[in-house]
Amino acid sequence: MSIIVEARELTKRYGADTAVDHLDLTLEKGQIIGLLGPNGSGKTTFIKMINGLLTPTSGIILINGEKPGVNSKRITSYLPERCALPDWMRIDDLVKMYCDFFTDFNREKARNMLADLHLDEKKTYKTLSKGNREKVQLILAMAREAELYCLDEPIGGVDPAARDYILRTILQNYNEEAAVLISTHLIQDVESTLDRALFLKEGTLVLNDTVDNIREKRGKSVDALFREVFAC
Amino acid sequence: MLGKLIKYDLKALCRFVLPLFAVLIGSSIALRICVEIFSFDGAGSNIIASILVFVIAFVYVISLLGCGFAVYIMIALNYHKSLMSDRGYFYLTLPVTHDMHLISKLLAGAAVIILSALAFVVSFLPLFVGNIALPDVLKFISDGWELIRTYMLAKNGVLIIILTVFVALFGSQIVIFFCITLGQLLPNHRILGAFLAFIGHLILSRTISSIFASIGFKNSLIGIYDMDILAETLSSVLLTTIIYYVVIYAIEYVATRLVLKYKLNIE
Repeated sequence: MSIIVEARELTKRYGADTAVDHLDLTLEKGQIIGLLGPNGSGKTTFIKMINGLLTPTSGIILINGEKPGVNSKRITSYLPERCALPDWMRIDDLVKMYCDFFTDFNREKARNMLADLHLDEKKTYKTLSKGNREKVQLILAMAREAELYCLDEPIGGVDPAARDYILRTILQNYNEEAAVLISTHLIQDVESTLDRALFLKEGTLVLNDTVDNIREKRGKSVDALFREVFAC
Repeated sequence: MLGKLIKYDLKALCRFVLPLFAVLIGSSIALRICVEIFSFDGAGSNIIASILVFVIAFVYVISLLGCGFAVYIMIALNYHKSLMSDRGYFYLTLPVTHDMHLISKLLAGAAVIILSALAFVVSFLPLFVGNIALPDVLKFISDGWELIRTYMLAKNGVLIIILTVFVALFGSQIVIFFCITLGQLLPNHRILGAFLAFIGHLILSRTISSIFASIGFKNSLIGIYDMDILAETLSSVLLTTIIYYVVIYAIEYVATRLVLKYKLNIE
């Protein structure tokens, strides 16, 4: 399997606070990876650096062998933790905009997913409920045939039924040759979908192992191990 | 990709400014119609008609002022919302360079500034057509142009015109982008940061230009009574001033680009 993300001594500081601390890590394609950790552990900061939204204080991050830039953005599908789409646009305009900017965007796939949700494409994004806005954003991100999906807290702040829908959408639509990086602290909900788990604690990587290994060698579920590692 | 970015930036700007232009031109037409319908000769004036005309004139004046200010406010808001707020999570992960983002916003902004100037001129037509003879207007413009050409564009006229257009269309936008971008370096005080950057820009640019002007003014006093020398001096001063601001804006553009590239820190 080829490496899609490589971090070497990656560090990000905000003043005196260190969000990510000398992170050494490689992520390979063909896996669903859980980026797990409590709030403030550096998950979002790491994902932002992958997407070029933050500049590392020191160290290096490479996406498909290149620093974050135009080429990495072409192959990375990013779902931010907040609603980031222009809210004055209609859903069909947003679909068109994704078509315009991303050559790997599959319009039919997006329209089918929207139809499954019975979402009227003529509706303006801001008139949708928060849950539906998040779903539209997820649909647009997952309708790309990307090489790396970065999903930042995709199930945070939604009800359990919506969580099921979101996880099902991710599993049914991701490019199997790609790597899917899911950041969350809701381990129980995502555990069954993960191939690999990364535990981040105060910006440091404290665990990087396959879910199968965690279960077999430690005799615990990822959720049980998470509770043990991050016990207050 | 640049074309697509411009398309979406124009859409974002036009949804605010086009209705404003429509109100401007509409109120101008309405004002003319009212003035034509009601005669305001004092004794026969109707109070309701007077109030109506006053309200329409008020709307017209407000939208006239709005065309000037609102366009720049919308340009600033569009830049801030697209690149520095939540929407930055989308726009800054598009497969385009920071230069493309900046150029797209500058060109879309320039288009809207030109549109606002056109709306401004068009709004005068309903008010003055029929009241002022067209040849008089043309003569006024032609005389004014001749004066400018003779005294201000005596030397390097074409260059001055090109640079003036550049400064008018892009300079103010670059300052806005520069200040907003610097402001985001103060994560908890972004607006204050942008305001301080603007004050800093004003102080620095005005101080340096004053120093240059005081040095240049001494030399330009020699022979100022001669009209040819006066014209040449005016041209030179104008060209130097414009070039000075072009250099300032170029520096600010580069600084904006560098901050976006190396110090980007959206919330």
